[in-house]
Amino acid sequence: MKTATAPLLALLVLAAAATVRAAPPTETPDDILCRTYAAVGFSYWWGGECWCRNGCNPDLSSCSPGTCTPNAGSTGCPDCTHSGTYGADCSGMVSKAWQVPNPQPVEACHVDRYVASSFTSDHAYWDPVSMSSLQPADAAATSAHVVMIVGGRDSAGAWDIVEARGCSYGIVHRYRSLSGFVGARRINLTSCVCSAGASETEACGDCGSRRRDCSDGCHWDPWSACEGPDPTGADAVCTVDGALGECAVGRRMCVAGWLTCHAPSASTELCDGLDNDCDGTTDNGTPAGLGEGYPCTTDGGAPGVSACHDGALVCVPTGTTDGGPDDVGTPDDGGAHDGNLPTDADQPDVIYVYVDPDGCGCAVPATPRAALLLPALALLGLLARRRRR
Amino acid sequence: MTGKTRRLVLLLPAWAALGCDPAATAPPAAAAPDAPRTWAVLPWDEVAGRVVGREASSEGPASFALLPDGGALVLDQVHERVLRLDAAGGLAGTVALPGRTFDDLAQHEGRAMLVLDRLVTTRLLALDLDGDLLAEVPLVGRGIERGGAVTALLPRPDGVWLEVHHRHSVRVLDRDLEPCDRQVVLGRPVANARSLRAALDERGGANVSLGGRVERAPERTVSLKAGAPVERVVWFDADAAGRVHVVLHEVERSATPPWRATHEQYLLVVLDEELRELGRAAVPFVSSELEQSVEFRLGPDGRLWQLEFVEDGARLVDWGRRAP
Repeated sequence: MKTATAPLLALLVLAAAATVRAAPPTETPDDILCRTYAAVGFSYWWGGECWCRNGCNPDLSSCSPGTCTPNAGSTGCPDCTHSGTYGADCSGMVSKAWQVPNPQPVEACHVDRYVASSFTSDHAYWDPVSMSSLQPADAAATSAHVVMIVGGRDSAGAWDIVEARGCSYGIVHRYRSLSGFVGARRINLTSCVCSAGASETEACGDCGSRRRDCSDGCHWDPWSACEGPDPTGADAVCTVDGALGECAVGRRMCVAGWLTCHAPSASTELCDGLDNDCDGTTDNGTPAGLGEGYPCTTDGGAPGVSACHDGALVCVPTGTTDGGPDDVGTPDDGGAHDGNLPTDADQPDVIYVYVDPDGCGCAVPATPRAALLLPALALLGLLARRRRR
Repeated sequence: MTGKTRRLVLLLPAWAALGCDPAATAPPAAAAPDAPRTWAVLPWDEVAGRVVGREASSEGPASFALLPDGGALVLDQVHERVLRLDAAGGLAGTVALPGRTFDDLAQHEGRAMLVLDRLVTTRLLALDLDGDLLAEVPLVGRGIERGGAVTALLPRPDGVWLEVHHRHSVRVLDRDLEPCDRQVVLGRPVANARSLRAALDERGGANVSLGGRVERAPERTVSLKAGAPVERVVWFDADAAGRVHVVLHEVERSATPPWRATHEQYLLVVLDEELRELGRAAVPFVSSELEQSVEFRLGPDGRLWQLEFVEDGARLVDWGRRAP
């Protein structure tokens, strides 16, 4: 176990040290990002600046990532205790990733480094940059904290960053807002990392790909959105576990680069032989929703009321209990035929179609406009019956 | 829960005297908005934990949620707990959390709280209001390649969604708070099988769009401008009536290095379901050096709330209804 005392002293001394320093190496932003990504998963160590890498990945198997624990009654460092050999605080991580003040392997502990506030000012090894022009491998700092920019600013204005966030979190890769931060860019970066006309494509998600272009002949644009083609044919049909009715069968699509089963959402139950509200029962909506209980005239000229039967609205003679396909006026468990007829004011702009078992129908249009819809709705009724069969 | 109750309500009728009258910036078409009201103040350290970082990030209560009974939950992750406030803004109790790295909180139908740990344990927990575990789901899986890519926690009537990269959302719990087949949609799911999206337009404004959940091209888009360049979409959501609420961070900066902010404020904009603007107001209280995941939430009744950090503590402000 090591307390924060020794690193604290080293921090204060090294931050102010005026020893001979080598200029940071000439390298690409990707070299800095490689060192940065390799730190993710290591512990927060107040005053620390070392981790282990396997290429651009953290080597958490050969090197213990360490742990940081706030002391009793404390919320964080410097009143904390670190165990393990490796870890870094925010400025130690950025100093090592940037190779300032001296080039050192990331595994080297107890070496010179800067404190966060250093990065808020102009310096021989870095220049201030505006927040709107930050690029990957730049830093953003306040007087107490510094983070490494590893990606672009996302569509909502959050930054893709790596930071040694604090004792409880360690070194993490995430999005965050950077209100109150100022930007800095290290010197000796190879100015151009790509050539005009170059582009790269890589796979993302489980069905997508993304692309970036070297539009200015020097820097990569941000990666495009991750997208891919939707499956076709039999691969396009999918079912949703646990869903019922119309919500159970969907279309498999590639959304944001991920295969997903897109099924209809539950909607108002209609008289169409389908389970629109996805409760496991067809045509069990309210009378108003189903279009039931409205006055109509049968093909024999008798007055009747509309009722939903086998997925279609039919006109049942008034007063009959067995003359039509449904039992108008008798409550049922679906609530559709509770005997409470809608008022005229409630009537929807629909017509009522009777389709008998032979497929013959008649209708009483409520309005001249509705009359024009008669053939279409009769056809829909027939189609609905055929679909059920 | 503890039975300890503290009265923390602080009404602030003299809001206008502080120079914070939002009506001053309302457009001509806007009706007079409700006066903002400080509903509760949670004193620092004693009630609301904070970390004032030294060579580290600083943080205050990361998130909050509003309950149907008029109360609220506040994520006090520094103290490894959730604070429960009653309908009067008093501290009604606390719920212990299994760790101190949770960084987001939401509530589900007044019967469950959802706590999210993006970075360390990378999991979402559903707890009842007494803190008993109802469900646990790992973040990484279809639609989510790493926990740090999660940008919002979205409880919805059909389940719990996590927004990723501010671009798509993944349903990880169903309406019964059971882990489910992961469904992926673009933007943030809202009612009527629609999707809501908001993004900076790179011209100093922001675009808000509404459309189908999987269609790449939205059905309608509105461009929002502010008095200063918009640097961040702070928050956005739709209420039960279909109105869209958007909070934008507008910032004016110095013309000389290091280009620090010289003036900044939040702009609240309310749109109807056709994305026509109903009203807007300015909020002077912007994010502080203490980081938080969620600054705004809609209450069950469509009122807009803000969790802001001031010198005294963490303050919950009821901004009321920002549109008629």
